[in-house]
Amino acid sequence: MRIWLHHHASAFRQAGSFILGQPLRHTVSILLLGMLVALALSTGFFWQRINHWVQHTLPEPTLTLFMTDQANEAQMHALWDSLAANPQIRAFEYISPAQALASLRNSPDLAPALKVLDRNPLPGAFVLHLRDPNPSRFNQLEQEFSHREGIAQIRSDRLWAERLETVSTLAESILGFCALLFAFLSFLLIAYQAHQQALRRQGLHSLLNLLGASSAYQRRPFAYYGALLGASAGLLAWATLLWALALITPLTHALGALFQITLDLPPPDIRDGGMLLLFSALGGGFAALLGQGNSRAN
Amino acid sequence: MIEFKEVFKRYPAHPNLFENFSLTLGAGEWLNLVGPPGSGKSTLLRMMAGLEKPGSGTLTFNGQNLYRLRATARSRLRQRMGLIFPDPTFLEEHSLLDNVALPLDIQGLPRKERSTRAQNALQRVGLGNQSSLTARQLSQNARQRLMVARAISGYPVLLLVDDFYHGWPQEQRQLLENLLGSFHQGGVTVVIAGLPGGNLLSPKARTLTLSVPAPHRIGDDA
Repeated sequence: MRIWLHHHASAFRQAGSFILGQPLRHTVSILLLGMLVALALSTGFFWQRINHWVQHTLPEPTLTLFMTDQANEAQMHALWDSLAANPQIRAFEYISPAQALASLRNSPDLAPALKVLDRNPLPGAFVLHLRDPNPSRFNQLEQEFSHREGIAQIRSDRLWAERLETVSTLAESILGFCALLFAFLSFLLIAYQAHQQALRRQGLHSLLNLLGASSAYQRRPFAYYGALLGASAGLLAWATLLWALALITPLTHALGALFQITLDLPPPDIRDGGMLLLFSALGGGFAALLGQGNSRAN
Repeated sequence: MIEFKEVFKRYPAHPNLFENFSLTLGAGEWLNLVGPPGSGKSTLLRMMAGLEKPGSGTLTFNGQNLYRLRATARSRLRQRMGLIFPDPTFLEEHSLLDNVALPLDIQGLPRKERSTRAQNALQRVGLGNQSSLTARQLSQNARQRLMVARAISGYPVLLLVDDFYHGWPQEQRQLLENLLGSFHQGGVTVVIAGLPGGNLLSPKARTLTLSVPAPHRIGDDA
């Protein structure tokens, strides 16, 4: 255990000396890596926030079950119970004919027309909010309720749900591709740096081999080197994101106020930061090992 | 300690370098390997060091088939060998002390012990008062002595010496002879490869003569 710790400490020091030995080159590399990781990170972060805003700002697609005039109390209760038991339905509400009429009377265009009616022609309706507003769920529920007694008509926002989903998938694909591209470029850059370091130390590797150093002993400094580069880039990216948020948040608040909606940009929590550092360090270490292995193969 | 059994080794330029070669070397023995350039002396040393795999046959070190071992285990065995080969490589920008302490670092010895043992080894090759110089600052002769210091710092059980001492001053050759002699007396197995009439070869020791292209055993001269 003592030897193992000694070797790790020694490898860590060597990795530090790789970086300190070429300070300018590594400062530029870390800045570049930081930008790439920041781009990947902000792409993911802003996509999440925009998705959140879209879901909470745009009208939610719903499914409306219009009841027949003849629907009796028992049918209404049975339908209520089955809606309450359906796991695909997040929430539902019943709008009675009187509530529907009152709502229409508030509309300045329709109010004069409604005054001449001798009776309320509007049906009662159940408005369903789905747990997962996936277009296929709308189809499924439409079919499930279409033959139900007491239901005259079903109006579905399936098309609206399809449009939302298509736009969301498209945006997710483009942003996901960008995030992957930036992450991959960071990976390649670290692998390249490690490759260069290994080439500079080829003589040392044959020497270490001669002295009985295991391949793990020779690889370890490179793993730490990549991990240090990755973690530095992750830290820089994190700082960049927080800085960008500090700059943008007042603007989004102002924009939200104009549209009378809340456009919050809460900063990611410290746990997300820890995960970012961990993944950057692990990815960097792995990239450096690949880069170093490749130089040995050459 | 070391046993070659029916070993074959070929190179494109030397298709019959070793054919059905067998050799047994006991612990604490001194073996002179004598032969002209190209006779396979260095190849034999490198095979013993686990650096060059035989084409076929077996090579055992303390009963373990050297080339059946995992690379890590083979590296660990190499830590117990002192290799004194031509064209030494060093950490050029590091001190002599760092260079000699490198094998001890690989073995995972504590810093203080590394430093003491490295300083002691430098002392034994006459470089004790230059330990803070860098390897780059040394003359060719001093670099070779530095390699000897590095080879003995880890208290090896096997010393493999490839002849590089031509042109050394008499006084330093004597120092190296004495050094190797003292290690041998301490139970260390020594294998020295050299040209016929080489200075370090022990006249009292067993000698294996190699020829070009195929090796053959002349027998024990001791």
